[in-house]
Amino acid sequence: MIASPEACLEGAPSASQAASRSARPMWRRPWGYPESLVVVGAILAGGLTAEWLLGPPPPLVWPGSLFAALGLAAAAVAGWLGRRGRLARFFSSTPLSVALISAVGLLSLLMGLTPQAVPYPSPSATLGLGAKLGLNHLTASWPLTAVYLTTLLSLGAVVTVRFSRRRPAFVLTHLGLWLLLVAAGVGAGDRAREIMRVPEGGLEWRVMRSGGEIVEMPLAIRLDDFDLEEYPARLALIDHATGQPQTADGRLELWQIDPLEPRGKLGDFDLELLTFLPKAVSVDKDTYVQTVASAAVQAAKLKATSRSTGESYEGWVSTGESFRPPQPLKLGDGWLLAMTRPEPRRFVSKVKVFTQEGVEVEDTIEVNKPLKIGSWAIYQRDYDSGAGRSSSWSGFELVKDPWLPMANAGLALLSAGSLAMIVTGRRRAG
Amino acid sequence: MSWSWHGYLAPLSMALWLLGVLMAIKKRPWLAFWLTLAGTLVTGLFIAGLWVRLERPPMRTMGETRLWYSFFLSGAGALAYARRRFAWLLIFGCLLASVFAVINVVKPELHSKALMPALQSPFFIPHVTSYMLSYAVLAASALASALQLRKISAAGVPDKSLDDFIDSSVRTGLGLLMLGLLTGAAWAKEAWGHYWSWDPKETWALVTAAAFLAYLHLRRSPPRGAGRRLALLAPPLGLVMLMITWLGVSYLPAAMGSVHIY
Ligand code: HEM
Repeated sequence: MIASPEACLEGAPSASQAASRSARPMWRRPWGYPESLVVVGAILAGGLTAEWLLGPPPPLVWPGSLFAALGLAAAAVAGWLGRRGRLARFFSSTPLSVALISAVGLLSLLMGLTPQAVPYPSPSATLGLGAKLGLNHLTASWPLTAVYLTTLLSLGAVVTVRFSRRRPAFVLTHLGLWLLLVAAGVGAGDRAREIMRVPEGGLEWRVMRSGGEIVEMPLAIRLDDFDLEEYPARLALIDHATGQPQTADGRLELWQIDPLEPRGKLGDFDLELLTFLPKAVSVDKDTYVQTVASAAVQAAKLKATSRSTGESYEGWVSTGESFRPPQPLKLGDGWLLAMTRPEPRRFVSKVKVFTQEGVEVEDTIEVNKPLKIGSWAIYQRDYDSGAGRSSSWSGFELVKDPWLPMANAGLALLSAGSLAMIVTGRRRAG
Repeated sequence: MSWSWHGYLAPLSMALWLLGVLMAIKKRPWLAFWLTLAGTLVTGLFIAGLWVRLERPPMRTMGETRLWYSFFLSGAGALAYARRRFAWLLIFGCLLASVFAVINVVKPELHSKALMPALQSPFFIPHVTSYMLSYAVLAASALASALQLRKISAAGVPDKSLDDFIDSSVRTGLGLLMLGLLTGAAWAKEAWGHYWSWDPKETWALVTAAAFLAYLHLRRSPPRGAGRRLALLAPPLGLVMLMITWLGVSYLPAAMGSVHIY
């Protein structure tokens, strides 16, 4: 432990030193803030030039990514071996870290302020200046790649050169960040994402890429059942003459059906919910009964009283389904009371997955509960939202990421380090 | 407990906070602490009631996150006051908490029960609470930095206890901010298969983290000359970024199609 926090501040000039040090010429060792800023500035400028001349960097793919990761690890080890040397000291110095953090902050700020596009395949005379310099597709540009790489070299040196068992927060955060950034950056080209749409009752093993190209996957999915649970619908008032819904302050005015709170207001009307059937079929226009069928609609019996005229109306409203349009309730000549499309509470696909290796798995997939099989993870993505409950297909996203274990390890260490930062506060974290 | 209760409970909270602040000014620290905490607990009670009523964590709409911010700001203000006896911290926490409570009373939003499937995750609660808590702590660090800057330009020397407070609050706040980012990343992986997709809210959270990281690392070895003052500029700048992340992202051209618009 350190007695006085000031004592451990490197480069903090004492009063007597201040005068002589302020006249210190540039580039004398050890390098400090001016040199770090110039170096990081040069790296950024180099990135912009490379983008201008070469176009966006090509993705790194296996085994190139593996060599890159090994190279970065070797650089970190070399940093430790040469920890007394000038280069390792510079790369593990706080001034360089501040310059790098500022550069990352600045590039992110640019990304946060300007819309980002997909990178162009090659530099061309017709592109704007921003596009030529990579500024409108920063995540896949040379400037960001250059800063990213320098940050990784620096972090590697920071962890090895400054390692200390007494400073868990410091070691965990930087080691975790290094692992996470290596996995995310170097592994980017090895990640695969495909979108597969499977019809209910059908078997699918092909995916369609954005260009329309059809590719066969090493696994097939059979969709045995697709099930959707909904929240109670909301009600809107629709102007009979224009067909437009009622708005207030530019926002759609809606009333949430909620059996716990059966009374409310919508526009000019006081509403009262008399009956609510989350799954119903209609016998005729004035009679709905509860059902368990999957092609069911939501139906509610309501009483609406106009506050301006005092007239009241009573009747059923319902959502529609494939073969039946929604049923609104007519409120005099002016308005229709209608249900909006209900929001999904949960959607689940019951599937059987077959891999080329002959593995077969039967399971359900839903949002936040992907299915992992071999090197792939299958995510529930979407369904035919126009058809809702009676959607005849389910959309999946297939993700392959061989660097996942390393990214997870980094995430875990960085989280542990952040917790340590909170717990140890100022005194001991170091 | 539905939102209509807020019209009664928010003024009660604010009255208790006001009394707490008055006691702090009158130098009655324990009374100040307990009164403020009572106000916080009233807000907490409302959050709990709303949670039960909505059958989901009340963390989805802007109005709901404002409730949490009120709760954490006043609570953190009270606790930090009990430990360090900075009256300004208590005043600041209660004032901001009241501002958010008033916004919720004056401009209530459409409150829907629906919680889309992607939000139904064990990561939801730690993600939002660590962000809200970090916002409260980092806001305090930014205010303390501004006070310290004024002290330096007036007296020429920084205040030691303020320095300690800034250092520890940036550490705590940044640690919480990182946890918010990381739980968000882990969650995005579970829900969509990608840790990070440069969603505008993510990008701005990164900018915010960079500002506070700059403070943390600058403090370690201040540059010569105006170094300390330079470091002290980072937390207030970070607070601006934080406000853009939380409130402003929806208005930016870059935010079209963000998953974080609500
Ligand atoms: C761009 C990436 C980063 C670089 C290059 C970097 C570099 C450094 C360096 C050189 C030090 C000084 C070590 C020493 O004096 O022995 C340091 C300290 C520290 N860093 Fe980082 N760092 C980075 C990101 C982070 C992140 C993301 C966190 C937290 C989540 C973090 C938390 C810390 C902490 C807690 C300390 C100790 C500060 C103190 O005790 O005053 N760093 N870092």
